[in-house]
Amino acid sequence: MLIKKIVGFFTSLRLTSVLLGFAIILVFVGTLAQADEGLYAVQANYFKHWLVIGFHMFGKKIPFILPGGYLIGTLLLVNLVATHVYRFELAPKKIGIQFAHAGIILLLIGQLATDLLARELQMRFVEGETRSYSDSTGEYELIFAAGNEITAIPASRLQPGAVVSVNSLPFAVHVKSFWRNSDVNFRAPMMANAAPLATNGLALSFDFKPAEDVKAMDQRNIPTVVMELVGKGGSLGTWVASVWAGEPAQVEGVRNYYMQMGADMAQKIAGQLVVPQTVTVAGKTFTFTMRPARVYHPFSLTLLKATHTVYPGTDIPKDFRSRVRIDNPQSGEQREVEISMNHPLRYGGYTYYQYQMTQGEMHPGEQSFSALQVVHNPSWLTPYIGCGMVGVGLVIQFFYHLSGFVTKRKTK
Amino acid sequence: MKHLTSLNALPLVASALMLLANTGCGRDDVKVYHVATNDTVVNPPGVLAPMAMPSGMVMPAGNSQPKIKYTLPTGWKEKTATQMRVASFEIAGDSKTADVSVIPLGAMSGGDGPNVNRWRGQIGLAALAEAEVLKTAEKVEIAGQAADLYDLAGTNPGSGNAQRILGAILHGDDAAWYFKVIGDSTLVENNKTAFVNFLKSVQFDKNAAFPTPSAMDMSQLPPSHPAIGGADAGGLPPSHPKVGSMGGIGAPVPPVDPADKPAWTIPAGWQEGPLAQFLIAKFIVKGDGEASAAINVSRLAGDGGGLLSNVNRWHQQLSIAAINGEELAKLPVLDVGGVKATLVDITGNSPLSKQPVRLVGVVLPLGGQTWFYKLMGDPTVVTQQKETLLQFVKSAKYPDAH
Repeated sequence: MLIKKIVGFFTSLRLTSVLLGFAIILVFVGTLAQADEGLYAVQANYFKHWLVIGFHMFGKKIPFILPGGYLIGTLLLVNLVATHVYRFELAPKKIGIQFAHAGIILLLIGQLATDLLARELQMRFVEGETRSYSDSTGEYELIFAAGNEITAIPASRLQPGAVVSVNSLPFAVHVKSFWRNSDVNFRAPMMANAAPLATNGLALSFDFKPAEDVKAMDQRNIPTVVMELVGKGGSLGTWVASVWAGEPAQVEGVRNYYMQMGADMAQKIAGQLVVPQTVTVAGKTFTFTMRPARVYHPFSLTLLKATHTVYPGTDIPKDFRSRVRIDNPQSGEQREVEISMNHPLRYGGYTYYQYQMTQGEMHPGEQSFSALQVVHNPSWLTPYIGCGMVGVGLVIQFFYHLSGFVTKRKTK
Repeated sequence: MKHLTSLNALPLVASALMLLANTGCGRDDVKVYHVATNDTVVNPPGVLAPMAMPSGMVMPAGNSQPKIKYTLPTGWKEKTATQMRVASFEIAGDSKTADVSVIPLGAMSGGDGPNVNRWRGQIGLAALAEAEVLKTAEKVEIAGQAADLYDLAGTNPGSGNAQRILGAILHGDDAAWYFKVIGDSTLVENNKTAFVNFLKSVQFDKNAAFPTPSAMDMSQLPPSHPAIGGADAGGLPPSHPKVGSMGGIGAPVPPVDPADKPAWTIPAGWQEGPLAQFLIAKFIVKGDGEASAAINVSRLAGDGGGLLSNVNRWHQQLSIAAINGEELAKLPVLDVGGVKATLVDITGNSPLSKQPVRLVGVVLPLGGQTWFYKLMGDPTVVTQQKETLLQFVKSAKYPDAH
């Protein structure tokens, strides 16, 4: 009896309607909340979440509870699958409907897979540089490098109070503080009034403090961690690792920022920021920093030429174009390709879009620089297949009914 | 109707979903992997690790870097001086190379301890305590002045090859000079004598003057220093990726607010000079011929980092020995409207030009802030102007002296 009731609930059309209703409300509320919370926060807290407890609307927090995107999607999927399985019927008149339903299920699963598996990365290089990895645009990692061995701890593991022990490290990382977004400030010798955050390295020259999460789409959080490294023999000191120091674009930003103190001073400060931080345990030296999470590729790209053209007499970009060489030691493949706006390179499961560029000729003394947006989405085909299936299903259904209708008229 | 009543398919779907979810969750796992080249150290375009300047960034023409003269040792090849370098050489031998650099840095170049430890880090040596570092120094002569040489042998953390650094540091009045050889251990060792002779041969351009920022004395920072910089990364090219929240670096340094400036009468013969970033006021006073002196007025929050360290900074600028707390207590005191100010009067040499220099400084703690007056320059001019300065300090009406 109970099973029947449960099956009845999950296969009911009423559930579908209610869920679709909630989905509409969630999209509406989420869209308005973006004004207050920012796109990425809304994505994470409304759509990539099970429950939304209180939401923002016109600057006010409304204390309502809504099902989040994950909950709606999962229930819809269960609803559809259950109905599909339970009411399955191998009959010609149902084939179209079955096909369309299967297509929608595929769409839902594909979206879930995209959510879990897809990665948005960037590859940034100046002319002549070779990259065999891409950097994540929203995920960060704390890395310890000993020679060529890298131990990467995702920022998500760095919760305050957490202790991270890994076999490859002869010490444990005790997280004192972790700030998802932080600010950096140069500690001028005369002005270092407050005690430094940590007793070693970077913290002696720079102050870091927590900052509010960014809301604008073109800004990113810059995380910082304060940690104590504890070896077998006791503490190896308290250190600060920050993306401010570990990501070239941020260091460049800090340098530009201090340019008003003069180029030499700015260079000096930026240089101070990238001084490697190391700990040595039993003769093994570990260099550590925090940086965007890296994804290594089994091949490399070399930026041969970055071309940036503008409409004559303006600064409006007309074309960004990167000529790159692919080197794949595994397949022995070596060829040159051109990546430009709307002409991405698809290679090795990754798609490389032309994203940003600075042209050396426009900034004398600087080398041409190109950034590629790298998208890895193993389930990129599912929406195409899913939509195809829905379309085919509807066409079959339509012709089945049409032929029935025509036959009926003829017999009349 | 042929219902598929058994729900056998559901566990299958569920496990597929679980599998999918697990793959996604793998992002939270700690990863250990090996890379062909370890590029942990950030060396972004245009921003280079200190004292590890790769070639390629050519100094812009007409740059204001100071110049040096020297005798080029045999076997050394001059390279184009890059952004921070004033001279750059390559030593080659047995298919190995070493790089020689000469870099002057402003007054805030930091202590020798951290700098030498940075060099030690570059060749995989552990950092030492400051006192330990200083013990390892050998005495050398650079342009006739005593300087410290550090001979460090280690291995390149990346390649594992034996590497050696010979680094010499000379402290000048406005700058510290860093002379460094880095490269293959044997090659560098064989070139040590040549390097020491090269250091001896160095001559500073007598007219060497640092561009203001290089020479920036951090004692000139205003109390609002933590608010250095603009909220936007104004220097970024249009298509440069947006830099994250720079809010914390603070608002732009505002020009000196007239309300912050003490009300004073500028003595005859004093000309207002170009205001460097952190000065409240600057005056230039000319003597006979080319002799001149400059008066800098700055203000810092609190005790401005401590009286002793400030006085010793001035001592350092004149290459004279630092004093201790006891000697500090014996310094003459100047009564400025009932407030006791410390008077410093020292004579020394400019390490760069070797000319004698006199400095008269007044440190005045007032209303939770500290005012610094520095008259420095040609001894004759400073002697003539000393009394004028003291009167000037006393006559000024301070905005914060409530």
